Amino acid sequence: MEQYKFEKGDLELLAMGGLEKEREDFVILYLQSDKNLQEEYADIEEHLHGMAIENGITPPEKIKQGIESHIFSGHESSGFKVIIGSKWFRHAALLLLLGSVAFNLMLLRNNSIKVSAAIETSNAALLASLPFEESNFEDMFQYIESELMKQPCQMDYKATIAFLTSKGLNTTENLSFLNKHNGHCDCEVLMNVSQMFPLDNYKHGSIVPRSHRDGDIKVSLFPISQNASLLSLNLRNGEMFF
Amino acid sequence: MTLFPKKINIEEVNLVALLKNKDETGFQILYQNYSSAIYGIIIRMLRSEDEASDMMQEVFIKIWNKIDSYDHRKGKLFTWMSNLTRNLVIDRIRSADYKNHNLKIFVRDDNVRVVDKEHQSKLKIDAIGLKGLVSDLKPDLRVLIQKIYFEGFTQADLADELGIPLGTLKTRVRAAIKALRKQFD
Repeated sequence: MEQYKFEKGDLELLAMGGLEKEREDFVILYLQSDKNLQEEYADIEEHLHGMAIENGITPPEKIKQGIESHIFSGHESSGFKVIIGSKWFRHAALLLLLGSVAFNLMLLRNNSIKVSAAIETSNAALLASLPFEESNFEDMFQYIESELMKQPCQMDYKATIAFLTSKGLNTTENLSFLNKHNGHCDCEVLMNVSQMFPLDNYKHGSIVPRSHRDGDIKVSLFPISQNASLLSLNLRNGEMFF
Repeated sequence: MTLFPKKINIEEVNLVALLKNKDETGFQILYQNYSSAIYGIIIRMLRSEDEASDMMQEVFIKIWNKIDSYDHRKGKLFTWMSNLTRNLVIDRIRSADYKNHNLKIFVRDDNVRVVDKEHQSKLKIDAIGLKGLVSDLKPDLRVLIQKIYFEGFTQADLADELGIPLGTLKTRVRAAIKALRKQFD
């Protein structure tokens, strides 16, 4: 490593920016340890500054405008970045986020309670509106299902009426109720009316409640005779195709 | 004639504090007090008004952004600014745009016309000589100041350029600055 030695002329060259980096660092260190040299250096700097001013050239005004537009528009931006980067901003943002999550969880919980209450109310209203006992409905669906396994739906209430009559229930009033709840024939009573009930044992899997009058419907029924396999029943606007 | 015309009086430590706080007033004072001196250095190094304008903006933006790295224990603000300016200009000269140039291109006789501050924009900048008290120095001393201070030569580059030993160069530089200080005093 080169050993530096302070020499006359170093101060002048340092003030003029004429020293190489390593020597500059050495001279600066040396300078900081000697008060007299510091004073001499300050005097040299002062005179060089005076010379630079004497040799100054007024720059065009557009230069200043360019600098101002750059640093002050950039300054606003950096100020914004400073705010965003501050720990207070981050803490406030975290609090807002947690608050928002808590508020949404509370809303979700309230909504869940409301939905549950609405379902319960709806179920209670449904059960209250039934024209006969709920257990009779279960029996009726099982009866209709067994009848339709023997013979496909004939687009009438044959099995339904048979059940209601066997139970001594009012046929006209109860068929009106079933019709009102999309039970326009035996198979619709089985598929649609049973869907109204909240209890799982009334559900029929993925069968979508639809009316024969809504359009095409393909109803798959189980074999109706010992030799028969799957029977496809195509219904369009109330007409039946095999 | 005052030594520092149009200068806004402010303690350097206060100006630096304003600049470090990114205070616009600090910038206005800085520009008012130092822009001409800095531009004088830049335009003597680059010889082109367009290039000098771009460089001037780059220099002041750098000063604004790097003011935190200024250490008053290492020297006055203007010394730091002028060294930063020379380094930036030298970087530009050595950049791709200037790859066909080198510092020696800019060595020329300083015995040329003086630029009028008020009309400098109308002048073609082929060469800008030194003015003021430095121009009264003996040519062999004056050229040292011009090449190092206004053209960015290092001591080694200049000693090589002039074909003199480093020690001799230092002695001459010291003599040149001594003569300059004498002129001002």
